[in-house]
Amino acid sequence: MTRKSLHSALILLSLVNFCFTSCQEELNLGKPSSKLLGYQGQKCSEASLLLFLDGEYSRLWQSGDSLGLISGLDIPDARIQPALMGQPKNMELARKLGLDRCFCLDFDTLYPMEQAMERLEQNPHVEAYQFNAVRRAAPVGEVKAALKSGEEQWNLEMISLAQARGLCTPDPQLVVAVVDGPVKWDHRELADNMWVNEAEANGLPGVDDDANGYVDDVYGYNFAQNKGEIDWSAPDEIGHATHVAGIVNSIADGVRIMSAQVFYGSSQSASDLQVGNAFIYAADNGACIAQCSYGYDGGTYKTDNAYINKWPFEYRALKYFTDPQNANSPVLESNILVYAAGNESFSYSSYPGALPFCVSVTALNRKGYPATYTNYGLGCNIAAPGGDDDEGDEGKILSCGIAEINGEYAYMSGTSMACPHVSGVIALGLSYAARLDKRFSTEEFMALLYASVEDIDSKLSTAEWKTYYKRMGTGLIDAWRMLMQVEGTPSALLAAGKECKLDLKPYFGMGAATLTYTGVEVEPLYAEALGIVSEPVVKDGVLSIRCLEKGCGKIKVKAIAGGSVIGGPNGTGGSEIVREISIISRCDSADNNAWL
Amino acid sequence: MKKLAFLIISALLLFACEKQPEFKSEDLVGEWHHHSEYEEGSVVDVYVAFEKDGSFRLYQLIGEGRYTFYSGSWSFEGDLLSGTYEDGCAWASSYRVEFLQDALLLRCSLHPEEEYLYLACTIPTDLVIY
Repeated sequence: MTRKSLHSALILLSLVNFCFTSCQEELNLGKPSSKLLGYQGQKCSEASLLLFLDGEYSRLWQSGDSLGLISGLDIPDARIQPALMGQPKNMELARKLGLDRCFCLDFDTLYPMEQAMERLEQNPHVEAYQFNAVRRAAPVGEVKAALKSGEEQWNLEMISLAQARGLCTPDPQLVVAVVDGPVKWDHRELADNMWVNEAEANGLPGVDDDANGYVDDVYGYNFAQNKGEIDWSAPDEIGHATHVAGIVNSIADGVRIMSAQVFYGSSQSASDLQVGNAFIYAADNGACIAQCSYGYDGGTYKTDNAYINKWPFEYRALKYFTDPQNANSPVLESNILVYAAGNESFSYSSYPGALPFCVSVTALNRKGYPATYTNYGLGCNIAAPGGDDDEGDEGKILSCGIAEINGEYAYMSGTSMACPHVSGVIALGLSYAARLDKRFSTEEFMALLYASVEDIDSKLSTAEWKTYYKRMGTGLIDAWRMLMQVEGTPSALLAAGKECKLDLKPYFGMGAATLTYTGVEVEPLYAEALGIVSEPVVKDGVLSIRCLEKGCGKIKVKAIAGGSVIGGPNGTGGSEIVREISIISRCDSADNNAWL
Repeated sequence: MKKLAFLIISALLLFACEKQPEFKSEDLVGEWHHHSEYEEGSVVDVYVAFEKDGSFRLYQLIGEGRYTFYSGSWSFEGDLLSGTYEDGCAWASSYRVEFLQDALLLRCSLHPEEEYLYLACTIPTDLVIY
């Protein structure tokens, strides 16, 4: 029995995994298609496709001639609607991403999919199409109710939360969108911190009071059922999103939680259309962090392009969310996507988390070792407590539950639980930056995030753990270190004329020794000022550098968060991080960077 | 007249060449503050306290972040100040000390062109330290 099926078979496990799987048989479509985004044999379900139309056909819809559009597609009993469910605030960006030319085509299930696709292939006004594939949340194991609140939360201690909270009050202007199932907005822990659409809350039921294209979206929107009400009444609801939201809230108590519900129950499906629109909604309604404890099984895609080609609508929606034009935090250049790495014990992060501009979070157990289920390796950027079942309930993560389902508080474990730890710490970091009146580019802040870690690899070099060595990300997220990174890092004091060794831990975190470094850049201005004539080199987290002149300047050191290669279109990999280090070169230096 | 002028000039020279007072360790005891800013924006802010028992405390903010605390031992002989940190590291340099009005001028002993001015102060009690 494989490790994965063992987990599935044991009823008492409290692992919860949301993974995307299709629910119907594969289609063998024979000859290759030039317009199909995805690949032959791709699984799909229902008689539903997403089309990318050219300008002429798109204008038919905009002019109100839907019948003419449908007639032109020549598919019997077809129904068509724009893929965009609301009106994006940034319509210019939506057009640039092609989102305005995307339409959802539904037709009779008795009509052969192959024939529909053939018609689309032949239609010159159809630029491309994809399956409007559906996903199902796939829980693994049992969710256990907690006996009471206030029980020990080892996971919060593990990330040094108490120290951090003593320094920083979370900013209620920040909004975290939980893209997941329903968040129980009236939970006693969450009620005061839910994001509220005031116009809708004070408006008329059944009316789109704020004209954002969504009706009654008070605490977010229910994309799963296309209604404003966040709905946790599904018979198989397990409270996954509520648990996730509770973790964010326990770390950044005070930031606002938005429920972008894309699942109804754990066995129902979410389409590409629904998920994509959730990100657009989140961006348009103020979220600066999207907390995403879902993904496609690790290893399903091994390149960025393989994922992008299969899920172009979702991908474009992610790009919409992270575009600087839609930045919702005053201290950060763009919004941030945080994903669970996945629970398949596979040596790749799942997508979309593996994308270079997403944060992919692996899971540790209570002892600080990799959880038995966690994905690791390529595309995984950082680790956080996710719990495991090796110590019973005490080894899992305690957070909010749904009283009528599994209790006011519940235990769960998974990378789904690890992920919101990072979302919460990011929210704390942004709150602190606002308080200090600091502003960061996305590149700068991501570098700070990946440096805000405690070392893990020093305990993974044994034979027992070598599979995970250097493959869990930069280290264990640490809330205190996040705030210290936001405050800033000291300059390095070096002795002119000598080769100096600079420990990079202050700049890359406590896991600096095991990162892969890709280079050191010195601008000509600073190379001249400091007399740097030979390229500085990094080995085992220590920078060797020789400054021939006394003076001051800056250098940039580059490394990879998540593995030994940088991810890109043709291969999954980590994210590049760049740290700028200020240098003061003097007559001499003390080995401990002290002044005298 | 010439003789009188010679006598007056000699007396003046005698007073002018009066021997400089010798400074001792006790003259260093106290709290001192150095502050400088570099072109690329780095700020150096250092507080140091030399204690009678030969120990010192140092708080430094170099660039960004918080003050880092160091401690150790110091000694002063002639005009040469030197020291060792508690972690065993030697100071970056020993320093020739020039005593000024409520200030010290420390020059690197091997590179006298590099000098740092420290003003007498009271070290703030609210420094934010790592």
